[in-house]
Order: sequence, then C-alpha cells, then structure tokens
Amino acid sequence: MPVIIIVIIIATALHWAVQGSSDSLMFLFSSVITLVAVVVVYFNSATSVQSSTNSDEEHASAQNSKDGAVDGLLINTHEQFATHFSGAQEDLGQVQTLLSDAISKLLGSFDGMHNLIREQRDVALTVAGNNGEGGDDDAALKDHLEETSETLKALVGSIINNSKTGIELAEKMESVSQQVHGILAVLGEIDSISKQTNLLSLNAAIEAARAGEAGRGFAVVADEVRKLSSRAEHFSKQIRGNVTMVNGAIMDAEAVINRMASLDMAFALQSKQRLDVVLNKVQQVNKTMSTVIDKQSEISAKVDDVVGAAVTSLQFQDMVSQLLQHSVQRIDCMHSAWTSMGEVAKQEQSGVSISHQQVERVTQDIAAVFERAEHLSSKNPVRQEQMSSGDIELF
Amino acid sequence: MAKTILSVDDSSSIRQMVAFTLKSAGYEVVEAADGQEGLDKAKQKTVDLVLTDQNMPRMDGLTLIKTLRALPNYRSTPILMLTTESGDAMKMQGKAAGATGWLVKPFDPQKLLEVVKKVIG
Repeated sequence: MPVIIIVIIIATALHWAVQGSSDSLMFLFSSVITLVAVVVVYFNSATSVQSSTNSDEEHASAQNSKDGAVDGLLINTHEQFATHFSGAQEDLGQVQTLLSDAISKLLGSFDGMHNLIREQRDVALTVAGNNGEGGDDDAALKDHLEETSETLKALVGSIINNSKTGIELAEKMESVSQQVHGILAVLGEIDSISKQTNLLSLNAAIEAARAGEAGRGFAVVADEVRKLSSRAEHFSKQIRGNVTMVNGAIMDAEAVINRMASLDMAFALQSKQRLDVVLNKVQQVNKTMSTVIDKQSEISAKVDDVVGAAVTSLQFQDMVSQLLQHSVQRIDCMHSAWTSMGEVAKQEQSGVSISHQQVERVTQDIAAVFERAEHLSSKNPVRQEQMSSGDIELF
Repeated sequence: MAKTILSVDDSSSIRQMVAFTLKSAGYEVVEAADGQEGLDKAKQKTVDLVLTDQNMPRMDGLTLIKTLRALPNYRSTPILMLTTESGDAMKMQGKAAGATGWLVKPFDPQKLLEVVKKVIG
C-alpha cells in the first residue's frame, strides 16, 4: 500500500508540474501514470470493501475512514483530469485549425507565384513575337531582316552604278570639250586664210591702179575679194564666240556631273556602312532576346519544380492532422475510462455501496475502452516518417 | 474539351493542392469533402477520372469505389486512390473494390500529372 501512495504522489506532482505547460505529450504521460496508480488503488480498495464484511467492527471503521480519503483523492484527481483531457483535446483541435489555415494561405501564395511566373514568361514570348509553340515567327523575323538587307544592298548597288555612269558621262564631256578646242584651232586657220586673202586683195588693188585704165576692171575684182575676206573674218569671229560659249557650258555640265557622281558614291558607301551596323545591331538584339526568353523559360520550369516540391512538403499538414486526430481519439479513450472510474468513486463517496456486479461492469467498460485504444494503435493511418513522395502503383 | 476530374478528400488543403496541380495542366476539377458528397457529385455530372482519399467521414474511399463501380456510368472510369494508407492489405482491398491505381501521400505534383495523363490522356 505505501508503494501505491508514493506512485500517486509522484504522478500527481508530475501532473501538476506539467499542468501549466502546453506540452500535451508530457501531460498525457503524467496522466497515464496517475491513471494506472489510481486504478490500482481503486481496485485494491474495492477488494477491501468486499473483504471488510468478514472483518470485525473496529477494523471496518478504520477501513471506511481510509477509503473515504482515497475516494476524495480519486474524485479530485478525476475532476482535474477531466478538465485537462478536454483542454488537451481543444489544444490539438486548435493546432489542426491553425495548420489548416496557414497551409491554405501558403498554398494560395505558391499558386499566385506560380501564375505570375507563367504570366511573365508569356509576356516575354509576346514581346519576342513568339507564341512559345515553335520558332516559326522567329524564322519569319530573320527572313524579313535578310530581305530588307538584300533590298538595301541592291539599292546601294544601283546608286553606285549611277555614280559610275555619271563619271563616264563626265569623261565624255571632256572629250567633247577637246573636240571643241579642235574646232577653235581650225577657226584660227580660217582667220589666217582670211588675213592672207585681205593682203592679196590689197596688193591686187595696187597693181590695178598702176595699170591705169586697163586695170579698172581688175580693181573691182580686187575690191570684191577684200570684201569676201572681211566677211569670212566676221563669220569666223561669230563661230569662235558660239563655240567658246558651248565649251563653257560643257565645262559647267562636266563639273556638275563630277560633283553629283562623287556625292552619290560617298552617300551610297556611307549608307551601306550604316546599314551593316544597323543590321548587326538588330541581329544582336534578336540574339539577346532569344537568350532572355530561353532563360525565362528555364527559370519558369525551375519555379514549377520548386513549387512542386513545396506542394509535396506542404502535405505534411494532412498527415499531421490525421495523426493529431488519432491522438485525440486515444485521449478520448482515456477520458471515457476515467469517466467510468469517476462515477464509481462519486457513488462510493455519497455512501451508496458498490456491488460486485457494478465492479464487473466498470471493469468490462474499461476493458472495452482499452480494446478500442489498442485497435486505434494498430490502425494508425499515417506510417510515413519522411516527406518524400509516396509510391504509385497502377493495378 | 477539358477532361473533368473529381477530387474527393476531407482535407481542404489536399483538395486545394490537387486542384492547383490539375488545373495548371488544363483539367477541370470538381471537389468533394467526403465519399458521400463525392458520390452525389459523380451522379450529378459524369466525370473522366475520380481521385479519392481513403479515410473520410460519412463514406470512405473503398465504399465510394464499390458504389461507383455499381453505377453503369462508372464501370470503366479510372478511379485512383490518393491516401496516406500504404499497407499491402489495404491496397489489395482497393484493387478488389475496383480501383485503377494506388497513390501514397504525399504526392509529387509532376508524378500525379504523369499518372493522370497515363490513365485518361
């Protein structure tokens, strides 16, 4: 008997020590020890009740006084236990609610993050003009660039040809100018002939005057020849003036054509260089964009993996929740057993004696409750000890 | 047209995760919180696949599978069990009841999608 009392004292102390703490398992542990101790005490005293009928009056009186103290302790402990069983169950329920709420919100966040990343990737693909289902549009952009490049090259080629033609034209002009110089030289010859003819007509007029009357007719001829030479000189001057003007115009035209040809050529060459630079840049931009999009898709795929891993891990809530539920059921079993015990203790304290049948019934009730607890132990719904993804089996 | 999947689980977070995974792959998802509600939803609209938990209030997964298999519309519909239960005896019961496959929680979203694709395309 003293051993039992010591066990009760230790268990009660332990029970009170953890009462303030939120550690449900410690509470459970101390409760179980106390429960075992009190059950032993109770059955010990119940047996004593039966045996007391055969004892003498004095012994019975002492026994009744001791039983009353034990019953008081039993009822007090019973009430405390009932409160804390309920408290532990409430705590576990609260843990489940908190977990469920937190996981739901976490999942919402992951879902949002996942959707935003996908949206970002889609926007990048739209910017690149690529629908993400193949490189058709990308190839079209390349073709378009190459076509533009070819067209511009042809245009530059055409401008260069025009310049070359201009230079040829300028060369022709120079040749025409040389021909004009030839004409002017010929005109000089005509001038000289005209001067010589004038001199001859003057000599003829002198000779005609010396011949007197006989030379009068010759004098008329000589005068006509002088007039012819004078007209020839006049025409020669006119032709020289016109040809000189033509030459000046040709020289001007040649200068304009030369300037035009060199300007076109310079512009065409500059354009070609600029075009090459622009095309190069466009190709670089295109390449950078492709790299960015590839990277974006890569990141998106990685985020999918990470979110997937998070979803797998977050399922701990379902497993923990089932385990907590299981614990709640186990506590419920102990609560039931404890309630049966408490009723008997109250009955005894109120002075109503306990029959053998009643002890039998309570024993059976408690045995049934423990059987239920045993059954629960064998039917733990969660056996996983790690959060790696579970097996998949197709039948 | 998108295929419809019925997700039956008493844990709202698991339903949320299953729906999140399947919807992101383009499936339509109908949710039910226990076997009885699952049965009612399955009767309301014929679905292409049923994904059910085992331990649930009112009606458990095995009973749901047996009840569905008795209906003309669900004789050959794929039904997958998604549960924490991993014992061979339990799996055999599932197979006998008419389950198409058994997936042990926690599930990997990618693997779940692979299995779903395998059974309904």
